[in-house]
Amino acid sequence: MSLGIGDLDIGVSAGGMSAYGDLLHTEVFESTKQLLDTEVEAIEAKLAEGWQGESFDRYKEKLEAQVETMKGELDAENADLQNRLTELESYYFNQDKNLIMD
Amino acid sequence: MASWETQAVTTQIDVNAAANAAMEGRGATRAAAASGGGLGGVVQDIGQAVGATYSVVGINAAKVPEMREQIRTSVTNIQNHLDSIEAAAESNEAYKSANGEIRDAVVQYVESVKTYCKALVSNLLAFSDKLAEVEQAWQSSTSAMAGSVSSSTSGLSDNSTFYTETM
Repeated sequence: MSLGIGDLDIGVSAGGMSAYGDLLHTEVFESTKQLLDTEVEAIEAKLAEGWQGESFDRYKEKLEAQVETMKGELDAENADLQNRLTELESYYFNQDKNLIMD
Repeated sequence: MASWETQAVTTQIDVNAAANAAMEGRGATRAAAASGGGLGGVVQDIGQAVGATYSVVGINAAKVPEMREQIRTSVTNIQNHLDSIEAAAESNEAYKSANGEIRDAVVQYVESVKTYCKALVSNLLAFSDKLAEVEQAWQSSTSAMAGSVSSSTSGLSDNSTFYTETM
């Protein structure tokens, strides 16, 4: 019979770490990116109610470019967070591997 | 006996002089405007403004506060979304440590990531400031245009002296 993380007070679960990383990826980053798109659409719709012309077009271009830059930054931040979690997981496994050497 | 022949008496008033003077003066101001000395010389042809991609351009200044408020609302919505995320959710299924100190450290880290994301998104508020600047620029430019039009009107008025009979 093998133990699960629920049976332990100190330890790590590779599956649990993967799920935790996926959860943070989805909740913190992907959903925020989707919300960014939704909110920018709302902003542009409101702007279009009272502004028209080439200056408006350029403003929208800059806004959308800024949002794309932010989404890229969120991706980079997610990658960094996933790396930190992998390091944490590795630390546990390394600790287990080297705990008894003789 | 004196001849009945007498020299004709000619009139002296040049009936074209006043009109010619007015038209010459007005022609000079039109020429100045056409060469860029008036409203900027941007018009290429009658009814054809430079770069007119749209048939109607401009902004409804009364709606600018609503536009800015929408940007603030959108930023707040995203920040509230980030605030609502539970950083420790399911972490108990991932790792455990004595006294939960690793969980606390990881949660603190994730919270700092969320704070960074919220700060990042707050930069959209710069577009709200830009809107205010756009409104000011429109107002400033239309004031300048009004000044140019007034200046042209003065030039036109200078040549609009009504002829009055003198005899």
